[in-house]
Amino acid sequence: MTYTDRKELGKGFRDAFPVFLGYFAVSFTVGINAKNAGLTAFQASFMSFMNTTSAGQVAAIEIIGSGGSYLEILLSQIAINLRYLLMGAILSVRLDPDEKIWRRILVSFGLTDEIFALSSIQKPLNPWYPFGGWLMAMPGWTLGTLLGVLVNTVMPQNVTNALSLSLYAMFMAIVIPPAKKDLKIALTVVVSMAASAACYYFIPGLSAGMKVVILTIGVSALAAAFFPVREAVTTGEAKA
Amino acid sequence: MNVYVCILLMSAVTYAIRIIPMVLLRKKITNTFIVSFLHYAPYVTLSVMIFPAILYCTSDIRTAAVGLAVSLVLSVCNAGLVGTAFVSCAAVYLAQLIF
Repeated sequence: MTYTDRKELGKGFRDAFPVFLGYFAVSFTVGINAKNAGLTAFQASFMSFMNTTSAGQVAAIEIIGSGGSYLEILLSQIAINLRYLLMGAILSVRLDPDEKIWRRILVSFGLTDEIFALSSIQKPLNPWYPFGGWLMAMPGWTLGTLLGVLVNTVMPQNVTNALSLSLYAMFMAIVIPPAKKDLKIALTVVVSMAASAACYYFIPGLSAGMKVVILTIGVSALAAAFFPVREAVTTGEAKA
Repeated sequence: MNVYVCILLMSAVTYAIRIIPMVLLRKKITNTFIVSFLHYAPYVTLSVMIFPAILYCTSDIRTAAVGLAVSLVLSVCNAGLVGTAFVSCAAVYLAQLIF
């Protein structure tokens, strides 16, 4: 590891502290679901350690609890986590094309909604940054799940509410500052939120994961068609 | 079904999805449309995740609205990730005491 790698690992680790707290609170519910489905404390926290994916785990726990099949598990994970493929593609092109494979795979650990959010504003992206984020966030997720099973009560509702909102607030702090500086980004943000709200209210059957995939492709394509940027975003801020 | 087989299967699928783009997408992209697409995509993804979900993440839409407003103001003022997250969190906590 070079000096820069260590620095980026530490930065990712520190930046993800709000994620640690948010995950800790939210994963209590995952633990309770797991217990109700008949999983042991070890099984539930092992699942959290091995996956770190909220919607995917909740779906899998439901399938396990209702005595479903391996095929159902497989299909549910593909459908719910397909958005990581897109997020991975977005981050992959930010890396140096000559970056070694094992270093690229460090980024894969950081492909959760929240660590992706943090990583998406790093230009250029050092693969140790998302890995550092995962090192901070994953223990929060695993520990919260474990305690959810053992204590079998949720955290006080007002604490969970406040910490859940803090994750969205973090997303706001990532999206708004660049939108302030660039009208095209601002417009993209507004259109995305409006489209997301329209899907939420008018197509209730559409899952949140699928909505992210469909709208990211659709709205980004529109933005790219109307407001093309010339310079590659792999190494620096794109110039219009 | 064996729970451990389930967990390993989930993990294999989820990490395959996470690893595939990192391993396969290694060329420098020069096509303007794709470069532009990837430039806007993170903002779209995050915006879609924020709204309207932020309104329903607390048990009361009024406290969520307070959190949304506070996080918007702080983000506009460039209060930073951690600052925005913590102050919005505190605002929601306090709003819950009032409503």
